[in-house]
Amino acid sequence: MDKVDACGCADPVVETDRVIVRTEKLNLHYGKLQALKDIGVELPANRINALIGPSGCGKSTFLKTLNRMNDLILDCRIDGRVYIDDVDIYGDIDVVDLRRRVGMVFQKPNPFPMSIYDNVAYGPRTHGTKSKTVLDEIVECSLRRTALWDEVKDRLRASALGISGGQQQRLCIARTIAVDPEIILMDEPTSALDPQSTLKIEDLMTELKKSYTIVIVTHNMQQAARVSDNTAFFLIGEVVEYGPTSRIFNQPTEKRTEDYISGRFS
Amino acid sequence: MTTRQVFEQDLIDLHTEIIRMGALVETAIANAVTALETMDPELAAATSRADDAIDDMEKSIEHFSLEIIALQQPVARDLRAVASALKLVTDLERIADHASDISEKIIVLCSMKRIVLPHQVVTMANLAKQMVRGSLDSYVSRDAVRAAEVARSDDRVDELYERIKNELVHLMSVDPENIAAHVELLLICKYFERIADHATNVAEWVVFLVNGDHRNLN
Repeated sequence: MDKVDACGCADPVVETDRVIVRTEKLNLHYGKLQALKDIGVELPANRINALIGPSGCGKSTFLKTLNRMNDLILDCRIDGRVYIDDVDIYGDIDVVDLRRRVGMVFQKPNPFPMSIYDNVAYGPRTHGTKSKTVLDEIVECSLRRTALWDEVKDRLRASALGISGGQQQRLCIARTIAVDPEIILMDEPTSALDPQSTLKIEDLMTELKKSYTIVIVTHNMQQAARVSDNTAFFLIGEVVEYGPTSRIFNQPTEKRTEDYISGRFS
Repeated sequence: MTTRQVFEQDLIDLHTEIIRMGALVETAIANAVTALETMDPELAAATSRADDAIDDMEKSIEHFSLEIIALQQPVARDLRAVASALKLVTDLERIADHASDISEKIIVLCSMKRIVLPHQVVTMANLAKQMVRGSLDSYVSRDAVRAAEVARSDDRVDELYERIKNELVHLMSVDPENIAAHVELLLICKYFERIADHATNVAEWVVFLVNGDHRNLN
């Protein structure tokens, strides 16, 4: 099913048990510094997967390996395997297409200095969509799915820089889903937002997981507990523990996990 | 390691408060048993009066537990410590209530024509008392094995209760003049049997606190 056509019109297809991301012995070095060590995880589709851990533990680095954002960093060396839908994304693939399939939302809202409409239409246009009717449909659909349509429908041609921070972040999510990705990476997407805007994004994530797989880095442990289905705890480049969020926050098997989630940092 | 000093102190204070409440409950049941053995209405009356302080402690610990949840947002073992505290104080308060109920029945019994206590009544009362003490000891030392042992004793209390009930029914049929006194005594035994049930609950919460596994142990 075409997800854009489906928005707001039909129930999305929820795949419950399919593994969409799989890593094997994933190691990453920045020069001599090893940032990821032998990461082997399987992330299920249509789930919110939270990555938690102290600063510098490798969680954001891991996130960026999923759409090869680290390719842009000098001296970054990666070995091991990252499979998305069983295709090794570090093999012979189209990186531009990979980044369409695996979208990213950053900590600070980063709308382009253009209109609200053009922000959302930017991706589809880049990927060759020219029809105004189709673009109108994609823009409306994406803005509706991010619960932004009613707030901005009368000022689609206004600058995206004029809306609030929370609205800007939802616009960035709308921009991401406008190109019909499979996975959405979120790097601390609410850390710059007030509690009300944070709640809207969290509600949105729960809605979006019906159609997309979400991988979120968060420093907010309560947020990970509230919204995610699975949680991975990173520490010094390793995944200490990964499992259902309810288990991680109730009965973690590793003492290091328990110490971290209960606020006892070593 | 960086710790959460206020939170750590809150958890220690919570633990201490439960131990204090447990000590009052232990005293209440021990006094109820002694008052029964000696048929002492004054001790029974004092035991009944002491229940108010235990009720106050229950409310105070509940309030403190909810405050910890609201302000410190505990997870994992910490959350189990607070959740088990919230549940456990309810059982402790019920045990104290039953000690008070027993004491009131003793006062009634003392005002009636004296009857002979079947010897198993005191045995059962002491076993229930030991279960309360054992469950509280297992809480203090966070000993799941000890807690499970305490819970197993409940079978013996149930068995004794059934025997005593049959014996009292028999006594009522052969000694109709003292039916009222035997009914009071039967109620006393039922309260001890319920005390053992609540001690079992306390033991189950201790197991949950230690390893996160909450199930019926008896």
